[in-house]
Amino acid sequence: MRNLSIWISVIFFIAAGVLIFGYRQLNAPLPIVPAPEQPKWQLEIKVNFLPLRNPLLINWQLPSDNNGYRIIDEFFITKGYGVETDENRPLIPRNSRWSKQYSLNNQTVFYRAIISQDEASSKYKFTEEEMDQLKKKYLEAYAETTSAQSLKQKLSTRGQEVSPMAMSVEQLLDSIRQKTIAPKIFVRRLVRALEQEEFSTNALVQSDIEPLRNTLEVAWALSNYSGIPTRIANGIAVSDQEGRYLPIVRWIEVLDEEEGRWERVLTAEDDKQVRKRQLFALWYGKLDMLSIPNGLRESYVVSLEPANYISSQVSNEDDLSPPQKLLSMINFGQLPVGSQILLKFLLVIPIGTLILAVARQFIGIKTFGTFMPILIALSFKETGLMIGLGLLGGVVIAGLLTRSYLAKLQLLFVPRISAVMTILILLIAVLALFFENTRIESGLAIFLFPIVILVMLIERLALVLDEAGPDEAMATGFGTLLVVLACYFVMNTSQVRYFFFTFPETLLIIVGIHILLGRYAGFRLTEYVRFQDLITRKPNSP
Amino acid sequence: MPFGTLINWWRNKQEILNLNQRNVSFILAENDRSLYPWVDNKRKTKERLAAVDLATPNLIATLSTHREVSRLESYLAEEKAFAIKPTQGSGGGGILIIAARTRKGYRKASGQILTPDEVAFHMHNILSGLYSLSGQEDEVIIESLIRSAEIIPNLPLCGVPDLRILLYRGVPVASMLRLPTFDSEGKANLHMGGIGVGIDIATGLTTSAIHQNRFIEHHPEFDMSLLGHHIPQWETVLSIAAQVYDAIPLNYMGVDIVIDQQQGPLILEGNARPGISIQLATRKGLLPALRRVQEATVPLDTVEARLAFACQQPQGVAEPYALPTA
Repeated sequence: MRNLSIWISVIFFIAAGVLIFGYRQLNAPLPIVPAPEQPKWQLEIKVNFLPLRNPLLINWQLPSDNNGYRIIDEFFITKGYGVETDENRPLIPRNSRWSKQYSLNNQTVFYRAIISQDEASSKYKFTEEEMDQLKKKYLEAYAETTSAQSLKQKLSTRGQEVSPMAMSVEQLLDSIRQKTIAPKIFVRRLVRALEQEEFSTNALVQSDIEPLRNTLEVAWALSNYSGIPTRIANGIAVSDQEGRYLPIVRWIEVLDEEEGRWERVLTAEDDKQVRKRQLFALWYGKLDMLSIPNGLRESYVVSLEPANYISSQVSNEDDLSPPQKLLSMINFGQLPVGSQILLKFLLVIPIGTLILAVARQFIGIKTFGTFMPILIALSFKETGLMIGLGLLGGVVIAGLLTRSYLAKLQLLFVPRISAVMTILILLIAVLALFFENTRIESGLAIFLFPIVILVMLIERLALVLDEAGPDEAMATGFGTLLVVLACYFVMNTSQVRYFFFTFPETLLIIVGIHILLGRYAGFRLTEYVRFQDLITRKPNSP
Repeated sequence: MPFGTLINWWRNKQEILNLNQRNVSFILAENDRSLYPWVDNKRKTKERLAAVDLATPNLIATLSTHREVSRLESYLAEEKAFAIKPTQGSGGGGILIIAARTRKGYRKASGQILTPDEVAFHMHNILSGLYSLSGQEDEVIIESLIRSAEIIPNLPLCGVPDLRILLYRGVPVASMLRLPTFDSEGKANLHMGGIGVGIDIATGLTTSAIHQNRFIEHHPEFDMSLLGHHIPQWETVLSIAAQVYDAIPLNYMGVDIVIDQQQGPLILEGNARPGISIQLATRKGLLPALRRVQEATVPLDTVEARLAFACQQPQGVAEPYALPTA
């Protein structure tokens, strides 16, 4: 009876997985492996604020196509806001107004866009006519800003008296002008000169009306003052890693007449960090991305995640039949990027447990703790394999040393493991500082190590060492490591992550396999060795 | 490789019970979980067995709070030799044998002297759950030390040997003698370096032996043959093992029995997840014996019937198999 119900549940789960997978593939086929062409990312900006009074209005400068990236698709997740936006034109700042009549609660809105690398957009050129218009319009607009006016005031010659600062600024600008005419080179030299402190920018930086906060802003103001249109761009570095709370990178762009577009000017700071990275501008100007006149405590979080699985065509919901509509719900691409990152993480854990179950039930590999290898493999994803292994080894050795010292003091069990844990946490904190200073970026990821479980690992390891000897401890440790490596390589393969993220229904098949494994009553591979003398014995009696 | 050899290997393999099959087909399928506390908790085992007049080692005290540990001396009274055990320990972990109390402190079986503080620390660790199966808070039980009778004539004892009887539905299906060695520091468990000696159930004669997963004939520390010895009081041992099933009806259970010089056979503990190494000690796969019980045509509801059934077994392989050249 039990066997029958087991087979029924196995067939049920596997059939359900296969059927849903097949039905989805027949109706709305998705690629089984991630598409290799045109890298894509999902960009998300989440804005939070408290309303001070009504109505609510968000003035938000949205990204437009720039730096070789094109916006394929975008979504406004608004909860009752009306949104008007300007047209998306390459390299042109795009304003949007989000408005809502009445609300007193904490507000959260999202802007989400799918961006893709696109060579064509990086070759985009303004026509000469457009250039002239743009230049004129831009310089006019600049002249109206408070920064421009305050700068002009500072540098103007009051009667006969020429202020020393105005003189030195004029000198600097003249010296650059003599050597060059091309606007791009002019701005670059200007930035270099300002950075190298040939010229003191302090007085300008401390200008009172609307402060110029740093060299970048001073360079921006001075070149516009000299009639060369420049602007400040604020954006993010695009990488293949998933990232939340991305830092905003700023750079300066100059309107290049020969090229017919806005061009990034590399600064000395760029040379060190940013040059090799691809940048995507989110908004332009010295001011912040958004202003909320009636809002309090506004904050925003920028996330970016590779999204090669997202299809560029967005199907029209109305064309779908009801079952297709239901199926289109199984698409985690709709979720916020943060949840997507978490889900991708969660959806491969069953594969890790499958590997673990096979290693234990089929092969007979001994591991410390049941799910420890999976947790360690997951944290290796953040640290990278080599650094992860080094850290794990270091933490375990440090823990063992601490424990053996504390064992001499004859402390009770719970206070002892608490003390070991505290020392490990301190150690990790120190390591994080060390990594920060040496610019190895994976330092903080060791926080993902399940520290409590790690301490239990150390405790168990010490017990095995005491009671079963170093051989047994080595064997179990080696087995744990083997499973960790297997889990790491499988769970971090991008095809695997893509597959289970896109086809979560196939996890039902995995459940079926787990049930089968749970009833597996055959030999473990290691048992052939353990019982080899019994197996190979000769039949000499009945 | 001759085809016949392969067939022979396959046949042998069919007789061996492996760990997965033990778990799936015997422990999960036949052992009633609600009975586990009767074997996992040594104090409860004692109470349960005492109720049906089965003898266990003399209980000196059970300590369940850290406060009681500090009053150890008053519990010990005149006892000079005793064993300190975690109530819910497993695999022999956390057992401390005190062979004598001296003026300097407590002397372990190995001769090492422990201070009262060290002994108290060990008991605090037990209470904190360091050795318990689930890591939960535990109790300490203190039992009088067993003075083992001589089981194999003239074999020096280093610790207390015990007899493991494997019961399936109350029928003894396999048994072995576990001998501690100096190497195992007085512990009889096979994975800690003890010797396993297979016993023929029908005759009580030792048939084969194993040490650290290698077949042996002679004791590795004292050059004495381990085979062909008759276990003293074998009928009594078998009979009390079979009676344990009436008190704790776990279908697949290991019963550990020691033979005390004065009190005779005593039940040390029951085990709901007995290991499968016993097959190496008896040099025999368990499955034929287990199937024989499953297919039994006679009723097995009395101790006598089960013992008679067990001893009829065509076990009679008193001759050891040819040893691989060592």
